[in-house]
Amino acid sequence: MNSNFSLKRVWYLSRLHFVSNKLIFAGALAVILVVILYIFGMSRADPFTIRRTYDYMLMLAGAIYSSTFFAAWSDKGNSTMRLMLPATSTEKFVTCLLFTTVLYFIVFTVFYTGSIYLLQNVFFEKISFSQLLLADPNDYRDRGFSISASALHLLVFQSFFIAGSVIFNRRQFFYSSIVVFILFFLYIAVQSRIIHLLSGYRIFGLNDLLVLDGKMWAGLKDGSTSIRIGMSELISRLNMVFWIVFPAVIYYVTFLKLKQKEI
Amino acid sequence: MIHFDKLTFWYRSKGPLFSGVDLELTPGTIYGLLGKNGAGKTTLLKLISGLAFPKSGSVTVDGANPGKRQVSTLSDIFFLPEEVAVSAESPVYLQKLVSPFYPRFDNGLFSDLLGKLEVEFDKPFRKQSFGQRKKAMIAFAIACNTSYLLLDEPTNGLDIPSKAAFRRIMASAADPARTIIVSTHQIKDVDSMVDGILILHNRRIILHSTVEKISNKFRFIHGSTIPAEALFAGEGVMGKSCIQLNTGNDETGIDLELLFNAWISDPDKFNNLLISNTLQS
Repeated sequence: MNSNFSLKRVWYLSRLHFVSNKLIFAGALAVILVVILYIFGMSRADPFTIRRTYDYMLMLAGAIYSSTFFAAWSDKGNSTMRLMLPATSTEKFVTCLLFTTVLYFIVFTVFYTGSIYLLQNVFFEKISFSQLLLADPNDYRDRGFSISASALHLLVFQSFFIAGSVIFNRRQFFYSSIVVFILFFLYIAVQSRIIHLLSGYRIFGLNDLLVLDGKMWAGLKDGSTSIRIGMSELISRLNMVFWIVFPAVIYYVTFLKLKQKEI
Repeated sequence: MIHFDKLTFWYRSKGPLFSGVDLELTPGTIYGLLGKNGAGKTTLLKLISGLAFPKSGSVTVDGANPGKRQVSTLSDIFFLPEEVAVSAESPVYLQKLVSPFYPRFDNGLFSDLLGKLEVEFDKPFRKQSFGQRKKAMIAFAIACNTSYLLLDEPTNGLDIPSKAAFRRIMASAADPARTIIVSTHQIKDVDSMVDGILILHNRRIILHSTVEKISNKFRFIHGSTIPAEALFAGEGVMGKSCIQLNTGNDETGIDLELLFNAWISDPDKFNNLLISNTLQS
């Protein structure tokens, strides 16, 4: 049998994953719908809240889903069945990425916007699709909150939780969350320290970092005046490492762990 | 062919399990893999199926390293663990969703085996007992028609009629191109169907032989007294039994329990007797 990458086997794996988890998927969508109804079912929704909630729910639900993707592989019987399935480790990993990033992102976005669109248009004022996810486009583009930015954030965020689902044998979501929290804390601390050394200013969180015209800026307060300082080359590189190189390494390490997983 | 070359394996927490094991398992044989608890029966199956990697030495299946998990190797080995997990909702979904991974899967045989084992084809697994699920997976494992079929404690959880059906099915699953290894504690469940025996003890394989060779060399006698020429004797609820040299080409059949106890009591003595040419008159 061909050991090269086969799309046919990815299709078999995808079909198996979908059919085996269809009840869980239906349950997850039901929970998301309940949350949407709770937040947006009482009054006309503020576009800013819709957009913010989208980002938070996308990340949270994605983290939970990703951290469970390989969780069953820590159980002896399940892991034997899955590791012994005649497909390459690459095909199994690609199937994971397909579900946890591409399909999840599309399904969540369509379901979220569709639900709110129906809810708002039936019970409250008319709202357009563009208002749902963009609100004030300038504002969101300034803050790096475009849909593509959300997709990129998801890709970065998911890498930790997918890795967690392979590395940890139990409580994958919990342990992965702790790791993510520690890493973010270190990231902010290092960045704050560098900015402080270079400019004398202090920043305290991720919200102070802005992307404008393709460059990164730190938004700071000098007394009562808001100012922006351009980020140095060092900070830009640090961000590139954090947002692109680091997740790529995490994905690669996860793939290797999966390939070398023993029972 | 399965080939072990000076294989050493240990678990970090448990110390050495195998030390310098050499082994060659040939096609067309149903092997009974016996050993005490913790002897490493399941680990041996995992090493063959690439679920565990040797610390030193090597294991190959048809010349390939199973640890690389190449599709060609995976599609030719089916390992059914003791704690079965079903990767689909029901036998019908198992056939629809998992069988396409196995190029030689036989749909007709799968239905036939499910019938023989009295498992409903479209009943969801969540509504079936552990034994039913296990029977469905045994049927699936055989229907995959892989060259290597590894079964870990397959009769655990099966009722008495199912154990009998299992023995009949396994006998029919024998094929000159297929190697079947059945690891078990339930010696009585496999004694009539195996034609090769492996015993694991003290980090090594202390017996690797065929049933034919053993029954040519030894007689297994049951009675009320133990003869003086007995090489090993045991006592069970059915009375006394012993092993003697087979000097008259008698065919007594093998008492696997007695054989196992004899070999772990003094492996060197019995192996020397087994390979000796001067014993059989």
